[in-house]
Amino acid sequence: MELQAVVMAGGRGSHMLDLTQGLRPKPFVLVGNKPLIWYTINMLEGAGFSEAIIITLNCVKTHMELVLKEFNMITKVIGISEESDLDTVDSLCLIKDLIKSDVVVLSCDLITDLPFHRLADVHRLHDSSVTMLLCPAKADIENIPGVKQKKKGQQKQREFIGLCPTERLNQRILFLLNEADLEDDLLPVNQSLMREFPKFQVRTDLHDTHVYLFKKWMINYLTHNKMRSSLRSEVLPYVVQKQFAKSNRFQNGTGEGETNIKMDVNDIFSYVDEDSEKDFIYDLTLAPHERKVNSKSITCYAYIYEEGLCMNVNNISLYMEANRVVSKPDSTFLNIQTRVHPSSRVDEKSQVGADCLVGERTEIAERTSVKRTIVGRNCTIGSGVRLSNCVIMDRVHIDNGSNLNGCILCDDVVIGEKCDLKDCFVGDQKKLTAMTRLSKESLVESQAMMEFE
Amino acid sequence: MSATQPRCLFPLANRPLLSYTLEFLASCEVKHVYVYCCHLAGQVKDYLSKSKWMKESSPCKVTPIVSADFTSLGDVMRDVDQKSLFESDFLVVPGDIVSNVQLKIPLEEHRIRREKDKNVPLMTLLMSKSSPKHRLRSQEDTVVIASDSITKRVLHYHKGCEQKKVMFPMSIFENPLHKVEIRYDLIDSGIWICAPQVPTLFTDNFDYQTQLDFVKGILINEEFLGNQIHMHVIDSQYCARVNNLHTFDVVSKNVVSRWTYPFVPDFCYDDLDSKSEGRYTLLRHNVYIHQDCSLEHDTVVRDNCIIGPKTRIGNRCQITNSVIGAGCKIADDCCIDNCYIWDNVEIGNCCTLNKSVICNNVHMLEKVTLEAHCALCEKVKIGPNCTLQRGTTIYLQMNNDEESIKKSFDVGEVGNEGQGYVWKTEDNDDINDLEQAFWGMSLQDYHNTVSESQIEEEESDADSDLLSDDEDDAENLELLTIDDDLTIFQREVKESLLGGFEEKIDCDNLILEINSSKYAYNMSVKDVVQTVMRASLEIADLRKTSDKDFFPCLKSILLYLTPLLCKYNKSSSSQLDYLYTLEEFASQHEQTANVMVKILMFLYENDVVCEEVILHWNSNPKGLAGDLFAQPIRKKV
Repeated sequence: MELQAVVMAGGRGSHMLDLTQGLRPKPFVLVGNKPLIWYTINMLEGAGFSEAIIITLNCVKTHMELVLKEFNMITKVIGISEESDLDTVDSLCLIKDLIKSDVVVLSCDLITDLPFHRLADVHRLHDSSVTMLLCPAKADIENIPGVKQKKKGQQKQREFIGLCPTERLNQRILFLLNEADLEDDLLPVNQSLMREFPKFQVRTDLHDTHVYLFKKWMINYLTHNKMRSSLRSEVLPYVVQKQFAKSNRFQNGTGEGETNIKMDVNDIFSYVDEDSEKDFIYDLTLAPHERKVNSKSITCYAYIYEEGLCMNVNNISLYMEANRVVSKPDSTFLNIQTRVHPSSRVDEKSQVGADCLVGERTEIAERTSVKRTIVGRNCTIGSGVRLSNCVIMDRVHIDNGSNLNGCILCDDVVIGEKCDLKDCFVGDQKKLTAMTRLSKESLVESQAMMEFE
Repeated sequence: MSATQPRCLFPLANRPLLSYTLEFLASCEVKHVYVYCCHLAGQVKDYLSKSKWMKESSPCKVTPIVSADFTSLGDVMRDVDQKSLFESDFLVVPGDIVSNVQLKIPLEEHRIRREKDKNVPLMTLLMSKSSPKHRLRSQEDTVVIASDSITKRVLHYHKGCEQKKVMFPMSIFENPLHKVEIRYDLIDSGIWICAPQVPTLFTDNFDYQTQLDFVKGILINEEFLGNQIHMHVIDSQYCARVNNLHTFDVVSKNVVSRWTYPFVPDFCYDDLDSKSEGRYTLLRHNVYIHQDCSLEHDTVVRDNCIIGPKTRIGNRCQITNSVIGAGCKIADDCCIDNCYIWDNVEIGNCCTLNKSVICNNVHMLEKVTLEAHCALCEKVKIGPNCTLQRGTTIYLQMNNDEESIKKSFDVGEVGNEGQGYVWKTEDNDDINDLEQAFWGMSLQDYHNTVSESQIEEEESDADSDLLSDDEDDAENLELLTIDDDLTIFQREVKESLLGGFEEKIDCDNLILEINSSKYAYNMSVKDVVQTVMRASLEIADLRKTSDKDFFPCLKSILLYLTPLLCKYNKSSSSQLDYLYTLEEFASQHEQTANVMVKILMFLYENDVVCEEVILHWNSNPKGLAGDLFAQPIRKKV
């Protein structure tokens, strides 16, 4: 087994609390009437993985197993307790005994049509310690349901990624710096680094998809050094930086013989695999002065997936976007034969567009038009209703003559007659009286006020 | 070396550097070149007037402009502006460039950019690509450039490699459309394609001296002025400047090994100069022997050598990787490796020379050994029987007073019949420093003839008018700048204040002037504060007619300068600096000490310093040498 897959599904979805509160933690948020985790597992299965380890909260373990029954691959669901507040690194440590080879770590909110082998090829080609998947960041969409207006001044923290192209889309990562860590609005770059890589790019327009390929030794290192708790914000920048540090062990180790070398738990280099074959090849091929290069080096590469779709559904805006994308007529994510489930009933006089999805046992009355909308299960939609750009979850009732545009309606919502809603977010079990007119409102229980990035 | 000969006339592979530059321009179909000559301008002008460039048949018109006053590129550009030499785009080229680049593509790129937007693109810098470990690079020339990889716009320009880290302002990453690329693999060729507004900008910003000042100024003020700088990277053609001995060495080698083709020694330059009559013959392994030179039988010339006309070489010599000029006499049994021997040098029997430069008319007697990295300046005489240590420089003429101090030659160093002095740096202990400085690391103070040429290019390519200027710095001035920015700054401030006071210029203008000097010399606020205070005291001292007159005089000055003083007194530490400067001055100057109380009172009344600061100062003596004096002053207070 060349690669093992670990899916991090223990997140609570803190950037879209409205959606994830109650009985719907992040992996089970429905996108195109499929839980989010389905997309990740589907991608892995398509890529040829026969096994996956899924880390999730204890309380949803059984639910998770239920969802995963659909797949042929062997899945191992590991539950973590809600209170322990484990971070990504801790979670990895928890399953260290299950990891036998290099590992790909991904987040459950990933939706992508990436041919996975491309990423794996970068990993194989450069024998990199860490390979990460990047994609161009998307501009925020306007009219997020339930958000009045964009909060100004809350500009996103930029991430500065120094990339040195090796091939067209595989790039060596030279540094990862967050804007917050920089002083005086200055970006420092070491001269020694520039000497080694005299031409490189600084990108701020890339989005980290939280897909990482780690070498096996990295997991060993992580389990022994638990100081760092977040893969993204602590471990990766550290490893990237260590690429250019000198390996102490190599310097004093070769002459003295293996026995004298103590395993230094803090030194990342003591975990790096020795590769005698590579050393041998270097010996044969490199000129003496170049032979300093040794197989015990740390290398970080990135693959930039530019042409296709790649997104992390971690806020409301991306949630809308994801729904739209997967239900497009030419979408390859869902193997859709019938856009309207056979058990649903749509009146002949109603129109359901080719970019819509309608779930099981839903009823749509006459003279209703549904465009670019996803309708969940067991919904009833009255006559003369217009729906466009909406996401409607399960057991929603919409009365006659309502007009909804760009809204998200959660489970068990009831909309009265002739309501007119635009860009609204309607939380679970909300009931709107007839003739309600709202725009850009968020109707949720007060306990979970929305917090956006 | 450049004290007696301008750098642009140094013989590179037996041809003056400037001729390479002019040939390069002619090959780019440049039609009119203005040559700005400064340092030893007479020699440059003489050379030009004798050369083919001033003849009817010359492919381009060359106009020398002589002025010894110009000390920097800034001065030249301001002169260009004053004379309004150009109405259209033009080229600026340093007079020490060796290149076979075709400028068509960069010129075309520049033209397209300028057509798209009339005023925004200001100039195009030509950069040549070379990896960080390339021999052509010298550390002092290290540039780091952040540019947009699509539009080739320069976003940040950093020069020098002293700091471990290079800081990039975050603002350059703001525009998501820019694909910011950081390049460390470039050498600034010094060639600019300029829009006609460039000289005007130099006039507007009188503190711009060098190219670096200008580029930085434009980039910093980009937002207000809206000017942009672009660059063009020369990838496959040759382009290098000879601005120190290290590059002299490397470029010479490159010329010999034909990287600069067609500008190689055996090229038909159709010079009518008597010196270079006749041709070089190219033998295998890049050995060029002039038709008109004589080699004795057993002498071996191997690998990458040039032997100039009328040179005689005796028996059993070994010459490798060296360039030997015209009219040299080399006796028997010499071993010469990696050397540059200029014209009319005489070398006695059994000399051994390694990796050194020997200037015109040097005379070496018997059995002299030069270890690596030696340099012998014009007319030096060495030997017999002596060995020069690694990195020694011997000179004979120097324009400054040093000559009179050291009258006799050090026989131990230069041999019994030797004539010449060992050249030493101010802190002359570390020979490695010297050697490094000499061979191209931080060569500034020794070898600083800056040559800048400048060429105008009219829009229509073929029949364009052109101008180039060559300008060599007065050595002394440059030396001063390097020595002590602070002193110059102080002097400048004092002059501004004095002038301002005499002519009653508005204080706001003075503030502006001081601020610009502050940035020009990169002074801290503290320096400014101290300098201003000191300058006003000195002016008062200068203007007083009698001792009694001192305070009224000072008072009138201070009164006049009050707005200025208030400008810099924002923090209590600045106020404290005022007082310490005052104290320091008073400790050396009795009259000031006498009226100290009055001065303090005056400053206090005019809100220059506040009470707490005076008290703080009074209770916190600073451990200066003037403590003894300070005591009475404090007491008086």
